[in-house]
Amino acid sequence: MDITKAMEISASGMYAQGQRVKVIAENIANADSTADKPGGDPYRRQVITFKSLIDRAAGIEKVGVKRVSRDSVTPFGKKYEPGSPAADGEGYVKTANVNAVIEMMDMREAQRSYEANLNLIAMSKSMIQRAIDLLR
Amino acid sequence: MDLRKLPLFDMMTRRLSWLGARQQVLAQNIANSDTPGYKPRDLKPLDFRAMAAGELAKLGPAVTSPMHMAGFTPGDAPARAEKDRHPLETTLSGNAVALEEQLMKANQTATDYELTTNLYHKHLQMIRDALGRGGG
Repeated sequence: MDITKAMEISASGMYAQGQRVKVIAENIANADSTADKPGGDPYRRQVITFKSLIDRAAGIEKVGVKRVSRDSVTPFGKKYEPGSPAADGEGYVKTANVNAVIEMMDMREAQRSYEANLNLIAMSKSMIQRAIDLLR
Repeated sequence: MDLRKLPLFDMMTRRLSWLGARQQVLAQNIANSDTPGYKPRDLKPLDFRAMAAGELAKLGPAVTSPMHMAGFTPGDAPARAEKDRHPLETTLSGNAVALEEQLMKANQTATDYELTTNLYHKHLQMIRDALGRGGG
């Protein structure tokens, strides 16, 4: 039935957005992770990308995680902290390339998409209920 | 009594399955609202007038014995989803799904579904009334 397939698709969307929130949470949690030896690289933020997955058996197009990669474009920050074990010869420590504002914005977007999928499941459910009510 | 032999019921059944198929397509669009390069799709609108006209013009071989094979009846092919050629907006990643537009369409689909099931129910009720309840 088409409507149950619609619910399946929306569920795949919710799962994908959940994975996205997980990655964002990892980024925020590691915002202050630095290296443990002098001059080493700190935590590099992760980026998630989605792709559509075609389910030929059911004839539907779901959504899934394509890959979680590392952001090598955004540069690391720099902080003067000579006492840190990660400090280089001049006393500077490289900090993770995590920007709290960007992560928060991404989180909001994930939440918005999650809610849209959730709404659609509720809508599909009420449509099925309508069809069942024809029996009365 | 085969209700689908009544043109009105047949049309309503087809409308319901069309709405179900559309709900599936919209769920697909919303689930893929963050997939790079994804273009939203929609079904061709179901023209009730054309359907009604087609209903009258539909000619099939008459079945006079249960041994006869039922003739082919056109118009039962599943609706095909087509890409939206004029999307409202396209993001940098090439995704053209406008969440608001899709949710509005989904809402409209759910309302139409409700309307059609209600109509179905009312007509069924009318037939039941004609049959009588056996009260004398």
